[in-house]
Amino acid sequence: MAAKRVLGNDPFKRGAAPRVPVATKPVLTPQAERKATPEMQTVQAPKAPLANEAKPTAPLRPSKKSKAIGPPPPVRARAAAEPVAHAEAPSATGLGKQPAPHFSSPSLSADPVPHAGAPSATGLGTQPAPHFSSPSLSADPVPHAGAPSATGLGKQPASHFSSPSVWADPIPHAAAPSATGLGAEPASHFSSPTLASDPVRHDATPEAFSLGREPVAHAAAPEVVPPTVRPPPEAALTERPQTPVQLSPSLLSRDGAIASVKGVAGALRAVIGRSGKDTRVDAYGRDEALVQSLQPLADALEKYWRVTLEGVADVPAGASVLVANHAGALPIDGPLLHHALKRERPDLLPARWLLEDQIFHSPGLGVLWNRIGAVRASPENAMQLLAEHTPIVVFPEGFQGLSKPFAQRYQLQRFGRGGYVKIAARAGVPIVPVAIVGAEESVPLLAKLPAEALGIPFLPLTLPPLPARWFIKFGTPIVVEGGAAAATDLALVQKLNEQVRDTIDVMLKDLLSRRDGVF
Amino acid sequence: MRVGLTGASSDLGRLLMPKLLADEQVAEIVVFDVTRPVDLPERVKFVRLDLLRPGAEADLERQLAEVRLDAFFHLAFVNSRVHRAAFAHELEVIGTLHLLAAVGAVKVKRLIVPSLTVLYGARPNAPAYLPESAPLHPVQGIRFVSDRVEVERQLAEFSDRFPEVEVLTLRFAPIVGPTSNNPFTRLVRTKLIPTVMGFDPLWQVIHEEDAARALHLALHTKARGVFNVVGDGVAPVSSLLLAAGSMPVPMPGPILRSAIAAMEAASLPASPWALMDFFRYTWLADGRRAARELHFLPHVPVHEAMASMRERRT
Repeated sequence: MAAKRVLGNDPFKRGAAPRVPVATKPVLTPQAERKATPEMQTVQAPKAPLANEAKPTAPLRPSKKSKAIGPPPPVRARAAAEPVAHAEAPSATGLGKQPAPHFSSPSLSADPVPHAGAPSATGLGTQPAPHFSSPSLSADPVPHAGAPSATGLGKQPASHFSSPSVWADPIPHAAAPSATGLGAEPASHFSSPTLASDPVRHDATPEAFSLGREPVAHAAAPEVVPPTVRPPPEAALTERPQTPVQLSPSLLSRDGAIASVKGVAGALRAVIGRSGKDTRVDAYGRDEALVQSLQPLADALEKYWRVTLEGVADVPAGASVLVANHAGALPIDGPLLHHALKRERPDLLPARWLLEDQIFHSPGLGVLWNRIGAVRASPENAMQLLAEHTPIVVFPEGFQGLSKPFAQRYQLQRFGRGGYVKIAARAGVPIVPVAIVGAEESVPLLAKLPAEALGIPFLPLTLPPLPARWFIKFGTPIVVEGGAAAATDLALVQKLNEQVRDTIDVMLKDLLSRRDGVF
Repeated sequence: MRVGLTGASSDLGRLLMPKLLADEQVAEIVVFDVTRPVDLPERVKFVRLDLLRPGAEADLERQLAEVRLDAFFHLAFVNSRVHRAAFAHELEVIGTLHLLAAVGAVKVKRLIVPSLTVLYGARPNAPAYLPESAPLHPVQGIRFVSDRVEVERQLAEFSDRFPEVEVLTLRFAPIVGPTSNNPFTRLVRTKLIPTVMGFDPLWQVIHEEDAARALHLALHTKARGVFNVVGDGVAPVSSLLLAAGSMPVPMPGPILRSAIAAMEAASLPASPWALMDFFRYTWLADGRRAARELHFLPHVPVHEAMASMRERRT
């Protein structure tokens, strides 16, 4: 089991940040959904409880995904409403039904054997169905339930998706029928083979079990759930209940696809450096029309990466300095954070992220990033943006964060000279530590190709974006005491700098330890 | 109020003149030039002056003492195409030297001189918006810029030395408009313009009417010092060029660079590579001081200003 977990958690274990002991992660996957196929349904799982060891202290919230990933519009409202509907129920009830982590490893995808959600299966039969199916399923009358689409799409009808394929998607999409079946006949589709062979299943702890089956708990669940749902820090980051990655059908609607073709064309023109005659940009170069036309694509990517946000409600209103770790071969963390924040916190001005010169002045990419909202990192720009009440995102690791090899992923580099602390002090705004997990595996830096001639330090050799799941955690805001005077106190600046770095480090390790799989 | 000016036949002088004539507070206008500009209105007084002649400062000093001016616009800068760079250098640098000597001697109350935001240079490490305090950087090989940097240096020295003279320096973004003729408008009127592929920096321009208005506002403001005077909005350079009817042709940087090197080696007229920085990095100036203290707000949005280049009236 241990081996499996390691595999599941991080197939590239070497060099990864240390992880907490397995025991703390109570995660169960209703695997039925992932792999169930019609044939499988015929096979009845004989059995029994296979809950993982579930810890009450660390509840998992399966359905966070739907919240984070669903269709953009009414952010707050959705966040509030949703959890009640499906997500919270399971967690409130207990962990028994959490999706198991076993499935996360990429190898799984290749595995023809259907993993049934064994543990839950048992329970399912006996219990009210809702709990077992993915959270969204249970609450949601709409049949998108078990379908692969459920994971990513929340409530989008799966029907209009054209392109089935995806280069990057290693994992086969679960068959829709079976998924549906899940909702209807809970107990039916569990594949026994896996269960038998899988050692993990056997060590289900009794409590988990009982928790899972308690009808009372389930009933109570909805009320228990707080209206606004911010996953507590301890919650495991599992949202995998349904399907793994879904690139194909559900990511992009036809309209979205058409719009994004236009967006991509605009982006390519920006990359070349030849914008349109009617291009309008704001004072810092953001082209709102381009951003709008790229919106469907950004939404699709967010679903593809199943971006989960934690603590986004804690980002203070008005200006603030969001400090995040930089990761991956391509600087996609900035735009993604910007996009997620814009959707979740419409009350804030769209956050601008500051880009180091190596990226900002790199041909092509620099222009494109500037058009979608990046600003060159400089104290003057930061102060000006803050004065305009715009939250700014900084990556104090700078280019070092992007140029570290994959083996050193999630190892924070030096946080510059703490310039962002001085800026926050001078502007009198709080610092919000942000940990981003997922970028390193989405676009791993495999090699650096020499590219001096192109005017960039190196050309990163990476893969097409892999479907790693992303987690973005916003920490408690740190207020810099002392105002502008603090900015000149180098010792204080260094101390705060280290403090922020440590905070992000802890958040990263926490996210990594709670994540039950890369993909 | 008596107002004197040099360079009355320059673009800015030509645009400013009607505003001065319409200004009720301006009692007398005195134009200093080598020849009387054609169509100069009758009520404008003309004084012959050759700023290039050795001893010009003594002439000017005597003439200034006679007319007792309240404000002086020094607009005699070469913006049209020059075939003799030495002449332009003499006029701009030495001419300004003479003029400053005379103005300092007779203590004209106010001196207004136009300058350029191009002087900041396009630099990778510049902030998004350059304040007036940002250092100026001459561009290697571009006389048009390096001479004006020298003029600004003289002005800064002058205003330190003669604090009783109010010196206002207006750094204009590239001035565009149907009647303007300066290096920038000549660039924009080229059909095909090579740009650097993968770069599309933001540019500012200012419409000629707005520029003239800012110059006129400088006559009455209480403020002094340096002002960035920029148009309304910014836009990627490729978008601006397209709006003006020309065609930006992005060329890969290394190819462009070698092409320029080859042309220089062959003694063909070529834009120096240093000029290409303006197509790679932004060089936007922060115009908020002018808005605050000159009360100058541009009227013509950037794309409209560029589109006005299509109608040519020169």
